[in-house]
Amino acid sequence: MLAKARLSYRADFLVQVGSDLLLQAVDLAFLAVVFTRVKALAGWSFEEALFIYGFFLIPFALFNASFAALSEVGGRYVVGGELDRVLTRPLGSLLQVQLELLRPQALNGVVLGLVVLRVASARLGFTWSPADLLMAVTGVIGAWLVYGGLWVAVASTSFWTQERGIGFFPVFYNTINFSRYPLTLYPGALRFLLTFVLPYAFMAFYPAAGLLRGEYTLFGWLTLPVGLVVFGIGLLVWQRGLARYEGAGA
Amino acid sequence: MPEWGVYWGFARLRFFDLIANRTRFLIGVLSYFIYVSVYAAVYRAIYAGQASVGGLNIREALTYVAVAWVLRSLYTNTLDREVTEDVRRGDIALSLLRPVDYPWSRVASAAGEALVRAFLFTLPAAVVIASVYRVQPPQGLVPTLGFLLGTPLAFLVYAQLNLLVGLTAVFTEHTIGIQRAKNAMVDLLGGVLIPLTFFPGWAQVILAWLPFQAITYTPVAMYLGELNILRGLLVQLAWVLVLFVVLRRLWRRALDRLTVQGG
Repeated sequence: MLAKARLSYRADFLVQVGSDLLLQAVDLAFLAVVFTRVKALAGWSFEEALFIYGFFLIPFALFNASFAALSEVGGRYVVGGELDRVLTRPLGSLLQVQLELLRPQALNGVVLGLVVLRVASARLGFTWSPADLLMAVTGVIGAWLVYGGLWVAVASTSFWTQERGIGFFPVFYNTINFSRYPLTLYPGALRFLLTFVLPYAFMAFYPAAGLLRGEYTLFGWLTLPVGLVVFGIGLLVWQRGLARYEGAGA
Repeated sequence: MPEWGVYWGFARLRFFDLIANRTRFLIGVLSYFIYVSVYAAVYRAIYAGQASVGGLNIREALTYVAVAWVLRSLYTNTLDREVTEDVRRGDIALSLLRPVDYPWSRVASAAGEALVRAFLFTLPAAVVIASVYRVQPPQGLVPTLGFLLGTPLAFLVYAQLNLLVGLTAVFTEHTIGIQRAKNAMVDLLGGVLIPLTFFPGWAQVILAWLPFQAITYTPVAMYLGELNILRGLLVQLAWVLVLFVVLRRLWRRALDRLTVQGG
């Protein structure tokens, strides 16, 4: 119901969509300006970089609509005690919190992502085989789960820290910036970090590059398993944290 | 108008308010380090096959990105959001009862914030970034002077722009769209993300006539010795004055409107 209520303010909705598009336009303009100066960026053409960015937009929009607002869990639910209300109901606590924090307006990014992907693949002469489609879909879901697992885990830390504000979320959010551009831009140590420690490279680069180039196909297919593992870890941390929850009333 | 001491009070209040929350600054330093890392990587790739782009060599370009983001960490504030909140909650009516000028009190508190940010946030971020990336110091006394004088002017342009955006709340119900549009323009068209000399020629002509370049590109170009400091400072000063006049006019109209609403 909350999601529906949020959609009912037409002006709000339009402003949100408009300014979201503008923010993405800034990134696209940045890429366009960069490619007036170079033919290829770390081995990737403008169209390929566009393809990666278009892919990035889709799970990013799903994340913004579903998981991003979990940054409010500490202040509102754990310290604020709204979790008391949630726990009286016979449905998973995390699922309820998430449904209450849904932001369906953010889904416009999916449409923009599809448009950018379409334009980029047309200019590249990329033809979508059924296997490509399957990799794209599992890649989007896997990437979305990577976001989800990370956000659930970070939100759960508020059970221990009793942090009222948004804590370390800005650092995790800003790190997303690395996944907008081809991973080969970054030095080896950073690539290792973004693959094996904080798997941000799976948020766009590996699934998109897996579609574009054979050398990344294996990593492309690994996106969904990685997403499942990260999300599983997130759930585990949430369960552990929940066991510590004692309610707001002293 | 009351004496200046009153506005110093606003600046001081904000200062002590902010230093109470230190973890926020730690997180901020880390965030700025991440921003610089992303864009420095893009710049390095741009220079992979060429020695000079837009009049800058790679060392200058890496210095540019570091100084631009460090400067951004200093002038950034949320005046636009706070003023919008004041208008929507009606708190602005209360502040009209006080014997201070509302826009000035806002700029003063933003100045207090910039002072805190300078010590707790900008300096540590600059140290961290400079220890990882090879950042050049300003080459000579004149560029140093240009940057030191350009920084407060950049703050004044940014703060007044933010205040303008916030005050539009008196006329329209929502300013979140304008806020986000402004943020996007400050970063892209102001030259935080990429030096303005990297843009195609026709775009540079347009960008030179917009206020955003006075916030980032102009002071950083003076730092690098790429821009005549007299010219740079005059351009910044001109925008400070233009925005000041626009702000006063908008504030007067806002006052009329607020009086009508208040009965």
